Amino acid sequence: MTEAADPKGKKVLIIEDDPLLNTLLMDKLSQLREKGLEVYLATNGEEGLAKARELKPNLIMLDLVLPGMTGFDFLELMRKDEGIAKTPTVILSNLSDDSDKEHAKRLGVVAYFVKADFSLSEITKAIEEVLEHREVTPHTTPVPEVKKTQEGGYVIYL
Amino acid sequence: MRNLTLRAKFIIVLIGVSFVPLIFVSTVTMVRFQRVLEADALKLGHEVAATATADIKSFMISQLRILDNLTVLYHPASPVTRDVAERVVENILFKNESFNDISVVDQDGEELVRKNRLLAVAPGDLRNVYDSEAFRSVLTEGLYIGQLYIVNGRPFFDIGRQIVDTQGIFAGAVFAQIDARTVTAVVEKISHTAGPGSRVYIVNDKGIVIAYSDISYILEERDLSHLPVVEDIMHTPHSESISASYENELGVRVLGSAHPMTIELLEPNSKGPVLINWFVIVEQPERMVYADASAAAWFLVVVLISAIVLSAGAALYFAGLISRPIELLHTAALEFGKGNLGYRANITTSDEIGDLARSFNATAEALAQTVASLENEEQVTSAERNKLRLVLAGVTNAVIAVDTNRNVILFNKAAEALTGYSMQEVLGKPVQGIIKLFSSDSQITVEQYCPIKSDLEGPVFRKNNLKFLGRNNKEYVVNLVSGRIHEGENINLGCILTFQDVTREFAMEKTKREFVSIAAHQLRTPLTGLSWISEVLLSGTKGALSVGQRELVEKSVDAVRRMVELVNDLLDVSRIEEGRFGVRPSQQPIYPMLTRVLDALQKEAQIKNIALTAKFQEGLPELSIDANKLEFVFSNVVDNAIKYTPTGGSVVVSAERKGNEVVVSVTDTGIGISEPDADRVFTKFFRSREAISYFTDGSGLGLYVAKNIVDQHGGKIRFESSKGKGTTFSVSLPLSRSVLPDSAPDKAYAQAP
Repeated sequence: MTEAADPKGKKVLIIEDDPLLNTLLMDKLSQLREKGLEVYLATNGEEGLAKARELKPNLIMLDLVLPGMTGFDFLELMRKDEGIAKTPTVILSNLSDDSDKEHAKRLGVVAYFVKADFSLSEITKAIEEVLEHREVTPHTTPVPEVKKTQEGGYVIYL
Repeated sequence: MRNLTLRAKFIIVLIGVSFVPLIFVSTVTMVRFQRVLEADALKLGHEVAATATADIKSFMISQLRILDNLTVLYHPASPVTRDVAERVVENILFKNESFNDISVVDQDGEELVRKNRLLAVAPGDLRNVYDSEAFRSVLTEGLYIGQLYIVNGRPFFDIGRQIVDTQGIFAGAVFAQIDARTVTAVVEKISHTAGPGSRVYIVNDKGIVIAYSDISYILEERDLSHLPVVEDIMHTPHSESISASYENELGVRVLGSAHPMTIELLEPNSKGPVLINWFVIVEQPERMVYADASAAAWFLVVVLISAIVLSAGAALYFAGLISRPIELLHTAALEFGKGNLGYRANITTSDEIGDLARSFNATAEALAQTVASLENEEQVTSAERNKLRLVLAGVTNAVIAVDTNRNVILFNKAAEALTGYSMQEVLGKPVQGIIKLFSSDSQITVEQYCPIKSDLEGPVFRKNNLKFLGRNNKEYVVNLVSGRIHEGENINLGCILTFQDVTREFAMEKTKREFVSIAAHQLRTPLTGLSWISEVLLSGTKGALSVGQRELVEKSVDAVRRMVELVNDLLDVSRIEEGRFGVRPSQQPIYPMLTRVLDALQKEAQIKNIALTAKFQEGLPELSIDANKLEFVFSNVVDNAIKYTPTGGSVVVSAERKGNEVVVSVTDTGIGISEPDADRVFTKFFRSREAISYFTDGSGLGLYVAKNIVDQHGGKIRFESSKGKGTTFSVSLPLSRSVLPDSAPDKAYAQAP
């Protein structure tokens, strides 16, 4: 736990079409929001891309199966937009195939969570960690390996 | 030579071997024979010449002796009168025809008496011959023999001799004109001894003919010095004799020889021998000389020709003895070739050829019988084949049989439907022209799907869900079983292909898998929501829960967990069946993964009071493994062991090296698996009846997925169990073996939903 974290002025954009999960995530992140973390929601790729360009968030949490533009489409467009190309992105999706994980990895995501395999706390903890420590340069990272943290945590692409 | 008939070869060889040497020997003999004949002829010539010389010498001497009688005329004591002298001379002329004219000369060269056989000599006709060559010769040499000359168409030559008185004092000389024809008479007489057609003549030292049977030669003073032998002997008068073969002035080819005829006359009063340089020429026609030789040659030629004719005849006959039967056999063989199996070689001799013909006929007989039996067999086979065809027509699977060259020999109705080709179109054609099979996107070669050179019996190629391209590129999905019939080789049967058209089933299966995949994926979002709500509730941020509420929420969490596991299992199964469940091995030790499994399940074991222990052999080598996937395997196996082991039991996880494998065993003291279920443990949705009665939870998918993972590592998973006492699951993993990535089935149709 990073109690000392100071999320003030930092922005997180969540792109997820399921309102229940959005509600739960917003609720879980309320503590951090009170400390100054700004959390924004988008329910499809187009909206997400517009908000990302406008807000320049410090982190994007992205679902892959979305109405209209898919999460993969979003990633590709985002990487081409200089203003947001290097934004650390975390995937939260129900796609669990290795091929999907590898696809996302190639598009430079910093973490990939399969829905239902991870608790809410594990997700938010990861968000905190990324906000604190990670400066990801997606296209130069060496081919990462799938790892599971000793604490029974989450899958992270280093 | 190669293309000649046996007879021609026979004859050529015979002539080559016998006649060429024979002709050579004959020729050499003939040449030698000619030489002998030539030598004989020359010898004869020599003899003739010697006889001629001797005869002429004695003639000359006799003539001179006759003249001796005249010495009486010079008796100084009683000189004779002219009249007496004339009578003496007339008497000599009368007695000797060879003399034509005789004169008596005194020591001063004055003719005392002269008498001619035909002419009367008047006293005034007497001359002084003192200055003549003849008188000079007589004075110096004592003798004179003059050259030939012609008078009134008659040839003559003069001879003369010295006369001495009783005191031996030169008193005068006697000269006589001799008719040359007397010499010719001598020569003519000898000519007959030289053989028929031969001629003998005498030439003087200038090559002028002085004696020859043809008087005209003498009268014309014919010069024969141009003839080779004459010319040669004139230039070398002292040689023994000279011979040559030439054409004489009459145009006759002759063997001529020239012999010097040196006659030495030694007279009592002469100062030395008087030489006459005449030459005897003997010419024998070659025709006559070599008559024997040419007769012999003719004889030889006749003999040779007859020999050749006879031998050729004999050769033809003997060659015929050999080649005629061969020709008969050849004809027989040709007839055989045309299918006339009743034909027999008609040779009845008891020699080797006869033997050959008999064995040929015997072979023919046997062959004819074999053919007959084959034809019979063919009829039977044909009937059997028709039966087989009818049977195969009723089979719903496509059946194609090929011969050992992979040409189609059987093609049933279902095969026609599948390929789009009719049986008539494909019979005898290569099978690869009809079959286009794909696994993944790569084509399967005919060597793979149609094995004809394998020592294996029965099916040797078996693959499901292959893509089959029919005529016009119509796509099918087929299951193929093909095999080589071991005994088939003898009947030219290569392999049999059986295709099951599973296009419809495959499409349905695919739809089902896609449904499962999508459903399972879409279940995750609401499950996540449920799970997270429980988490929020349990965290107490929405208010404290009563003990009862907390219990219910915890049960909800457990239910959601089981559903998530089920979803994951279903997705794994779906991936396995779509061929997307590949392992990604890397070289690493096996302990960390096993330790993680044990750590994760320790809590569950403690809850059931089960002793979960590890027994790892030290120094196990690293293995090529996908640790995440194997973790799933061992989690499942150990979880099952804990689940189905009663409280107070034990679960032991051991790892050890056995040969070229590392074997990980999980031994429990659980309920065991009964025998009838043993075969189905690793199949989808299987749950043993013991398990169901003991514990209703469980999808029955875990071991199915586990077996697939182990298979992909090239390993084996098996178990031993005794009901009520426990079970041991063992997973053996090969050392340092790269796992084949394409060992996954059905990759051809692996498509993400």
